[in-house]
Amino acid sequence: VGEGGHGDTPGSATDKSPVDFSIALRNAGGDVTLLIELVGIFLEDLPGRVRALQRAIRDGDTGDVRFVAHAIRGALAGLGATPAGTLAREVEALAEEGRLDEAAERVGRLTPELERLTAFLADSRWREGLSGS
Amino acid sequence: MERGPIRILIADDDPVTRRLLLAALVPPTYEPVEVSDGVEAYRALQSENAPSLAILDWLMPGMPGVEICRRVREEGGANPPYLILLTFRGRTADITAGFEAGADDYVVKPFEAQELRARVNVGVRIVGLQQKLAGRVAALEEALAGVKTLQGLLPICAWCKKIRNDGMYWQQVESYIAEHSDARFSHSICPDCREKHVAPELERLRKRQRDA
Repeated sequence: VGEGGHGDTPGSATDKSPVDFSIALRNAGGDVTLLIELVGIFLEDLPGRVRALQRAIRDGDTGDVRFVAHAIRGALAGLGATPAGTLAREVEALAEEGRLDEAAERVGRLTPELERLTAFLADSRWREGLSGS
Repeated sequence: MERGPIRILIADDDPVTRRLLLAALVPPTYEPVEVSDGVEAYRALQSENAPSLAILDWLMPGMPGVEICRRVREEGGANPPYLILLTFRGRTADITAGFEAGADDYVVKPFEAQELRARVNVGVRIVGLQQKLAGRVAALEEALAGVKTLQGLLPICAWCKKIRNDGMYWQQVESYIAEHSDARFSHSICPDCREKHVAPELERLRKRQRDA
């Protein structure tokens, strides 16, 4: 999972970790409390987005696929979740070009990557590594 | 002039991005107003007490930020808002398209709070200058409307020097000028007139006293 990102994010994210906390913390201005809050917002918002994305794919609504993928991508970028973010970007771009089948295929890869990410973030142990930063 | 907190419209359908924007633009300097779709954003910009600055996601349900820019610019208005597009699109062609649609600036996602604030503050400065300028123009227009003009061909009596005013009434030159300009008069007597009019009159009075 997460390896289909075409390597367009040089260096920072390893394929092992779904989140690059150096990016996430930088985006949060170094504020760990804010980052924890952002993760909470993300975990609450994401299930509805994933359902909306799958519904839009099912309905063949490329406009909606594009909007939802874009919103997910925004959150992923904010959290430094680069592997999933790359897939979301691809879904958005394919939907923009009206390539629904390819977008659906990419959603098929994005969904488990998002599951991996949410499982990782739902376990509060991810915070342990941040205390010293 | 905008004093106190700066009202900023934040429009993005992703709550994580909105939270990051809110975290970057905290009171008391800023007073963010958040919306989560393009139609709401457009309405907020058209409302009576519209924020003078807006950060709009390029792509939003309802109405994309780039379309909001286009519409707001088409509509014109006396106090146009400063519009910042939030975008993943860092390519020159996209940036150019954003500016052509009427955006004043853009911020690429993911953004850093410091850069965002710096760009917002440029907007605040521009909006301030714009409002100052609009205030000056309004004051100038008001002054111009009330200004009394003193120009054109004035019919003047060759003998007594009265001026015929617009109402065809012959008016003393000083009252005419006072009415048509900001000039005021203090009356005095010039040496020639003193010689010609005042001196003989004084002489006449003295003579009368002597005779009495």
